[in-house]
Amino acid sequence: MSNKFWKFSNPVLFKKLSGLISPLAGIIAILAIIPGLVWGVFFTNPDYKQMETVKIIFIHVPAAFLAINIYLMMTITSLIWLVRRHYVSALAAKSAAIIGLTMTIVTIITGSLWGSSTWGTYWVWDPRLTSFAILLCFYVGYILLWQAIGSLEKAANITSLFCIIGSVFALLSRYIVFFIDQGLHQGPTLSLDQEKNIDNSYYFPLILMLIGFSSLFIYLVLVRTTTELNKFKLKGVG
Amino acid sequence: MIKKQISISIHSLSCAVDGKLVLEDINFSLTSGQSITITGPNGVGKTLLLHVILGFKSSFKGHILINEVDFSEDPDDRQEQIGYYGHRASLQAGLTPLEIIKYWKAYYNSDAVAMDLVKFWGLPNNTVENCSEGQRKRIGLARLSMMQRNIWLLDEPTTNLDLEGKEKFLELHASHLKSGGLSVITTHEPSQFNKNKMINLDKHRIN
Amino acid sequence: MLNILKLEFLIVLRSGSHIGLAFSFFLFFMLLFALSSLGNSSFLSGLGLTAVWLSLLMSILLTLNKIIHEDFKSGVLEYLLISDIPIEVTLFCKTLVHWVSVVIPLLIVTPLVLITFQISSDNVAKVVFILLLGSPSLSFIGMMISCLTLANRSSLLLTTITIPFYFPTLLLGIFCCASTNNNLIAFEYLLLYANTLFTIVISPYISAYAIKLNYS
Repeated sequence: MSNKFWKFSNPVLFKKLSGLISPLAGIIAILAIIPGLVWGVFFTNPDYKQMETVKIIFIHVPAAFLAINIYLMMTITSLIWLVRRHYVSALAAKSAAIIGLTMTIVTIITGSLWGSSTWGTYWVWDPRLTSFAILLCFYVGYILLWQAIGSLEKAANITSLFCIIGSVFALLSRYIVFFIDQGLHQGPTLSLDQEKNIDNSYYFPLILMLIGFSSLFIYLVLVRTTTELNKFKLKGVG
Repeated sequence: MIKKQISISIHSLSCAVDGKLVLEDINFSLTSGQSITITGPNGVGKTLLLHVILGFKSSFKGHILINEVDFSEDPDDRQEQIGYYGHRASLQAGLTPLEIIKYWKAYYNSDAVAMDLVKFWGLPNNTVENCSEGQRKRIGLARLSMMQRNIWLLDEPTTNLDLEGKEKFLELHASHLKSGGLSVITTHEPSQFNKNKMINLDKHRIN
Repeated sequence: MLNILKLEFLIVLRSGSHIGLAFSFFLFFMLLFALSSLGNSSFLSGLGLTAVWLSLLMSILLTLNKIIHEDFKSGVLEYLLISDIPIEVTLFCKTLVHWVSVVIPLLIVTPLVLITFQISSDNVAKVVFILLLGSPSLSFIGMMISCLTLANRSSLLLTTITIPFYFPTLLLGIFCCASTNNNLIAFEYLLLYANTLFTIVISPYISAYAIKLNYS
């Protein structure tokens, strides 16, 4: 089983696999995002307090979900690179970083638009917002490091270690920010251990959007990794 | 210097940088008293080969055996046996030669031979920035002698040395071999060294 | 190890125009904060704690390119790597020397500077104590990130990339300085000490690993 999995760290096989999966992920993304958005925006009732602006949730929550999980995914692939030295793994982290950065920016922009109508201000230094500003710094640092180092192998080494230490320090900063100030932001929108999440009419389109955004991410990361592999002409064994 | 039997053998060593093969299938083995000369044009991977043996470059294929024990996976243990002399002088700015010897004594635990060398060469009592390149290389050689390691990796040891310096170096090298050491030398001037054991990395070049 | 500390200290003193620079920079930067309060003394005293932490942080940040980059550039690091002393010990000593040479002089003048910021003398002692126990982590984190950026000599890159790693220390430091709780083993202070201890413990190992990655 494990051998079969690691087989795809070979760039050639990875490209084949990615050629198969990426169109599929792309189609799922379109099939989930368009109906999700239409359902979410036109067929749900506006919130009695937040009115129509509440519908920003359908972009805001999936983007925030991805922003955090992409960093997690980068940490894992970085670890795989450092342990097993498969170029596919390092380049997947590199490709994911820019998507993660975009998602973080989208989260911050949609969040401040939402904030301006419900809290009356675009930005407060509330723990959740601060955490995203911190996350943004680590994404930017990671991308800057990739650009600063010429040699592919060295850059992969260094950025991987940066990503892993970064995840520790980002988490540390987050908990300290939460410790210092409890904040304005509402609690988590979706969580597994909570009995009552948000209303069902919001729940299903939101799930659809989450699936859509995740598939979009998979599509983008596969395509970008393939491009990177081609750029460095990595053939043989990874 | 420690009298000891030592051997090193490199088996089918290959090394890639950025996914491109630079060293391919290098094989040699040496025992006490032997040296090998490695030649080849600039950029062919001479320094890389020394770095692989030293353990700076950890991702390679093949085996490095010291005294018949496979040390391929433990660069830290390997380093304890290896003395290195790079092509740069690598000295701290702002210190005098004697202070530099004192500095390295803390790291290598011995300065007997080095003090003799410094005296022999009459190294100046000003900071190393004011020393000539040849004088800096002499301090480097003094540091090599302090390491008291059985395996010497020498990266272009004679470049920039004057005739007297070269003679002293060859004398030092000969006494190292005599006392049971061995050495791997990269050079552009192979005539001074052992011509029986020689590898030209250019032959391995693949385009 | 004492011997190594002594020798590293000698090197810093010989090559160390940066110690005087960091010292002057600290005072000038504090002056900038003082001037920017435009003579409003309540604003000034509110600014004091932030000012001292930020000035200290910037002084350390701007001297980080002296911590290990010189050794890498000259090639000395290669010989330190293969020496009889484990590289982790060497790196620990180097970081400690950096902290002592850069931060201790600043901490000596800090009480005077804080008094000009209208901070009460009881508080001054506490703030200096917290700076003393909180600031080592800045040097140790700096060493980690310096080792990561050895491949690129731009000190702007090093400075920029180090800043995010300073968030936890800065937040905890200012929070503790501003805290009205005078029991110095209260939870927030313990967090600060733990943060310092954590960075001191992980820094040499991660730095050593980063250096090895830079050579491979």
